[in-house]
Amino acid sequence: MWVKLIAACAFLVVLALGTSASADSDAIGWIKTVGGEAHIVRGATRTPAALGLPVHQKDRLETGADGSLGITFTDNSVISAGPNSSIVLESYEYDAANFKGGMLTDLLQGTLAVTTGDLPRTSPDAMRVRTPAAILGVRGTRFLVKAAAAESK
Amino acid sequence: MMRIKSVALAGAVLLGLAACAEPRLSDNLFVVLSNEDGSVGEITVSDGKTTTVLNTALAAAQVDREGALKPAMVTDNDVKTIFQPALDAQPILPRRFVLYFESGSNQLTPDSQQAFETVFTDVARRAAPTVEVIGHTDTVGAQDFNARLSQERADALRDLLVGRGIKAEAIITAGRGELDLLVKTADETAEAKNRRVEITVR
Repeated sequence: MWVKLIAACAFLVVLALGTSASADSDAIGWIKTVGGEAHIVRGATRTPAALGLPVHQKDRLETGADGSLGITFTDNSVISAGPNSSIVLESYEYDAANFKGGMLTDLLQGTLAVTTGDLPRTSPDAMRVRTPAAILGVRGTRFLVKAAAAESK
Repeated sequence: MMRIKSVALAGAVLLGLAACAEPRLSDNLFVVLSNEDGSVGEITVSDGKTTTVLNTALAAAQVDREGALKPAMVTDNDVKTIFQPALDAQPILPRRFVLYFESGSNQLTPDSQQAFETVFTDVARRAAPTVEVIGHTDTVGAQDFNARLSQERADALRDLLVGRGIKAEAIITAGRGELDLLVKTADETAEAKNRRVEITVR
């Protein structure tokens, strides 16, 4: 009993230490470029986007009239947004051991450039980008999307 | 004086015409680009009624004002005009490296000591790098010994990067022991290609 408990505690300590380098275990990617005004909206919190900050599932990313930002994800896909853009990282799941998972990114408005990573390797439907007007299934590799906000479609 | 006025007037009329003319491309636009090696991937665009496959360089589709999904003609110039800020914001693409170790040790082979310079250069050129280092061993020795050795190899790589000024917080390390062989071998088999760290620089 005690042995098991101690073993479990030791395991937790190892886990905690093991992730010390990446303190944020919810990170699905990181902000790699920022220009002008750009924000991460997480729940009720709106934070200026800064180099190196992690992004989470459900985060909303917004750029102003002079803004831009770029993100690299754990599956090695890369996205970047131009000015006046709004993006929601609607869902993201990725297992580096077998390239399996899924990613749905919403471009609510603005411009988006995408270079795919490892997700589409196992299933062509693993990576999708949605706009108010259409949904994209992605097999690779580099593509661009422009979206008008839903109300001005 | 007269002449300047009429030129200004003509300019204003032209501007007005340009503003009234229907733009050729709508604000709901999808474009495929070729890869750096010249190959082209594929995306499918669907609006619920129609599905279009785009799989050649600059193949494009748009949803027009009537809400119909249709093919679009897009030039390099259009791409520049509409997407240049988004393209300029693209992070440097991730890159993978493999470095090799001396048998039973966390010392890089001489070749890999050289190759480490390429890794360092790649990390250093990024504004906000994150580096993932996964250590591995061959099947010589006990599994738990190899689990430890693989972590030591990953840590050795981290220490080399930190020694050159890369922030430790930017580096994630893990060891997989002999569980993830690059070259499949029987147990107790020396295999130089398995004594390695796999590095992803993002």
